[in-house]
Amino acid sequence: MPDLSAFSRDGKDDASIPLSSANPATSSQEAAVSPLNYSPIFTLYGHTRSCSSLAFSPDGLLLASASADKTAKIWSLRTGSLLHTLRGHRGGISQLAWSPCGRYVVTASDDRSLAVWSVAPGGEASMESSAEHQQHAPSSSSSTTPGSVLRHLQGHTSYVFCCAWSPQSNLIASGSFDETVRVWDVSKGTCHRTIAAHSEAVTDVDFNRDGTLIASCSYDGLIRLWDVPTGLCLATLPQPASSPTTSIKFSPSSTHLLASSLDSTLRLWDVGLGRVVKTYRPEREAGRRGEEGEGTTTIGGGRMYQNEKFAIKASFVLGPSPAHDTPSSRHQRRTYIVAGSEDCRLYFWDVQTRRLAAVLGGHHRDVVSAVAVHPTQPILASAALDHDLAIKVYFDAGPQRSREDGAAGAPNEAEMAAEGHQGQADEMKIEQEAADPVATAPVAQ
Amino acid sequence: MNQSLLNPFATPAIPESVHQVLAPQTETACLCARFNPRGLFAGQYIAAARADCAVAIYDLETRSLVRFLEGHVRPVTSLDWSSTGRFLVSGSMDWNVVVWDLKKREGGARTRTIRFDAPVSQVTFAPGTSRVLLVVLESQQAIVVDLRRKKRRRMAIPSEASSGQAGPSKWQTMELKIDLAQRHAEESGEDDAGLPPITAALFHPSGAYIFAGTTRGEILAFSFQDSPSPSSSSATCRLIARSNISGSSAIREMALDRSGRSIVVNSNDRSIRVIAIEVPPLSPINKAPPSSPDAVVSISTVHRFQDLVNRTPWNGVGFSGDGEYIYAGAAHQAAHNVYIWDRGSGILDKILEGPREPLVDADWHPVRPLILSVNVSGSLNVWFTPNAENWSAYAPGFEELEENVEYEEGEDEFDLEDEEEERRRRENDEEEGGEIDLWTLVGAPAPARGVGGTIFDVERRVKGQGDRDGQKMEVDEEQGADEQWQYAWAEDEELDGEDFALHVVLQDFQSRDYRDADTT
Repeated sequence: MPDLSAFSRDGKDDASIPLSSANPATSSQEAAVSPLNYSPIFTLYGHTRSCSSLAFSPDGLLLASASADKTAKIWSLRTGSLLHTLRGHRGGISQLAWSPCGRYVVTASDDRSLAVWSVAPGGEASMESSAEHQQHAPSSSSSTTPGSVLRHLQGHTSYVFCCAWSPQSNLIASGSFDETVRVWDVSKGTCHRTIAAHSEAVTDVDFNRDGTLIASCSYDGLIRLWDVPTGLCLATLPQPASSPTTSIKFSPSSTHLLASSLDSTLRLWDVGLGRVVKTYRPEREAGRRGEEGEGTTTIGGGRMYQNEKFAIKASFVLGPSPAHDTPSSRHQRRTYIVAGSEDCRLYFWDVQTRRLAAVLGGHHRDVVSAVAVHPTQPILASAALDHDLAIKVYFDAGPQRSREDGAAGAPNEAEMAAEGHQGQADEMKIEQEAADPVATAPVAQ
Repeated sequence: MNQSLLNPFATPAIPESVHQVLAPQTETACLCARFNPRGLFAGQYIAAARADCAVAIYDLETRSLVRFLEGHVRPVTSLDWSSTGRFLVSGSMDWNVVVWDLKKREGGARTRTIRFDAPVSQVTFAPGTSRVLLVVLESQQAIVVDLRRKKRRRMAIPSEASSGQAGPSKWQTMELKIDLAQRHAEESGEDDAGLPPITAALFHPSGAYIFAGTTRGEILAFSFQDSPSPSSSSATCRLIARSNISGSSAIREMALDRSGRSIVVNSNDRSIRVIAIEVPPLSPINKAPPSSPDAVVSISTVHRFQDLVNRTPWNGVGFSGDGEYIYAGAAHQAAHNVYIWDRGSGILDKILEGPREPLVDADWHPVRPLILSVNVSGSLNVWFTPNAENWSAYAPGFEELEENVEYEEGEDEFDLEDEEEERRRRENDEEEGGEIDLWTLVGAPAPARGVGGTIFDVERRVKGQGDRDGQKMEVDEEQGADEQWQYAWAEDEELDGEDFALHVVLQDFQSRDYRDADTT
């Protein structure tokens, strides 16, 4: 039975240090200063139940969050304010995804349907109620009402758990507890193809870079690759010990797949070879490798990644440029993997060395259920379950600048954050959603 | 990118049957249809030139209409995609050529309109750029249009008080047009009537050569030298080779394969010829074609196909995506056939038979074994062979067997595996595994710029040195002093390195009546 005292619920043991690896108690195997130096710049409040998914828009100006309270919210990163609340689902939302053009968001919900919402690009704050939408809306102008439902995709027979847009934005793939993956034609709003994918709930789907492959993973411990034009299975990658797999993501080159499973392990699969090339295990910060599975002896003081119950998605994150102030190509920067953990922290692994690179703790009071990575800037967002309804947005100002030069280190959009950013771990921008001024039309049954 | 996972032996290289028909909602004839041949999303979109004066773009996967480009006033006769798939150029019987920017929404998609003196029969982009076009008119001229150059015209002030002085001048964007025959006549000093009329033309993938077919059955090879720096005058074209290949019958159309080493030619004597082309390589420094007059371009006929029984004329010829097959649509009146020959041996491999309507044009998908053919009534038929389900993909140990096989146990069948050993071995593999590259895109379809680069790539390198749309102006010696040419560098819209995909626009299409084009 694991010793729970090592995992402090309120994070008091490491509240003031955003960067855990600076803890001198860790062994010399960890670098003295981690290259990743994220600290929170604002906190967003508004959801009334746990947040299940976060995503930055492709243009990097908006953040979308989905929650078990049946709503999704769109926040502006420039001002930290809430722009839209997407209401209409009759069940909690498990995942949301932005379209590649940045105008639409699809949400996958427990009411067995998905909805495609229109979001004004760039975060315009206008919000009008729409009485009727979809095919019946006469539109003389070409713009859509922000926050309205454009398509309602029905067809799944159980909770829809995950969704993804194809890069050409003409298809949406969704996986559900009914063990199928459905591919939807967005402009018609109909199911293009149903794939009997797994023998357990499908937990994550992802498209590859040119939209010709869909990877799906499931609680049955298999990762399957599907050919989009024909719908046939091209390959199956079985996870060792059939551990239930909860998250799958293609690398930016689409040659590798990152899969995280409920034995607290993440694996990087090579798609062409069909085997694991890197494994990222929970690693005690003291440098000792924890053993897999139950019965782990915890020697107090070290923190360890844990993921055995909840489906938490992992992502790739780029480290900082080696030379400051000069843009560098992606190949010169180290790549990391970030995942939220059930001990209320975020863990970062270096992709190549497989070692733990940083732990970001003290900001959440409950299991970190969602992490999002900004497409261009070193910004992260994370959210947690019911006991902590705050969404935290972090910025990495670079290793040397965290204390002195807060203003220059802040991202372009968050000017307000620069004022308060003096290395404090506390949040400075809090947005309350006092009242919902507009009720968007309910999703048609 | 799924190519690496697809079994090359299981998927046939030639399509076998019609599977889908994309019919436009309104019955309108379609004159030309093209897949977008290059870029990351190659072959996912079909552009169709219609007789109702519009260009429709369909998505192959969902069989639905994604864009509808209106702007011409007469039927559109010819289309071409740019290398990134962002620009489309269309030529029409209304004597205009229009360049469309597909990144913009419906209304503002039309970027440039170029007027000519005759209806346009064929238009193509130069490889690697969207600012140079090759246009063939029905008056049998081939014209290279350079959209990068602007002409500045001085406007005289009406009052005579300041006679002799230049009035306020303003910039007019006018294209530089180079008529191939004229330019050749000027440069070689021959009589203008020295060259026979040109009916078809295309650029070599390097952009350094232009091949033109004439009414007398000849293929002319011009060397095209672009001049990226503002200090020299416009581009030069010189005829460097000439070869008669089809007797005296006019050449109707030509198509190049991806490597640029073969051309398939459709001529009026109802036969198709495959021509092998050899060009000297571009100089690696500035990618210019060799300027010595000894540079030889050799043109030789390799195969000749014709249907001796029915003497069918052909419409729409070309190569398959990998260049292994040659296809041609048969222009019968009462049948819809596509013939496929093997390129190496010249043997007829297959005849695809479709609905009983004459065929107007055909195109082969750049990556997949899929053919598109266009009816005279405007419906687009997509031919492919459905793949059989591969059961061994469902688990790594599965293997499909033709018949029952007696299972033989291996020596180590019941050995107990040492798990520690296994784990340690895996650890070692991971430790020794080298750096993994997660960012470089591999396995994508043909690169957008073509193998080896094109001559137009030079302008990106020289660009940093020249002035940016402002100060330098050169007087073109052919024009009078009132007009000056200025070379404007490619604007940002051209230099989109990204691979472009046509994103779905949801609300717009609901307000139109153009519903989806599929009938299945």
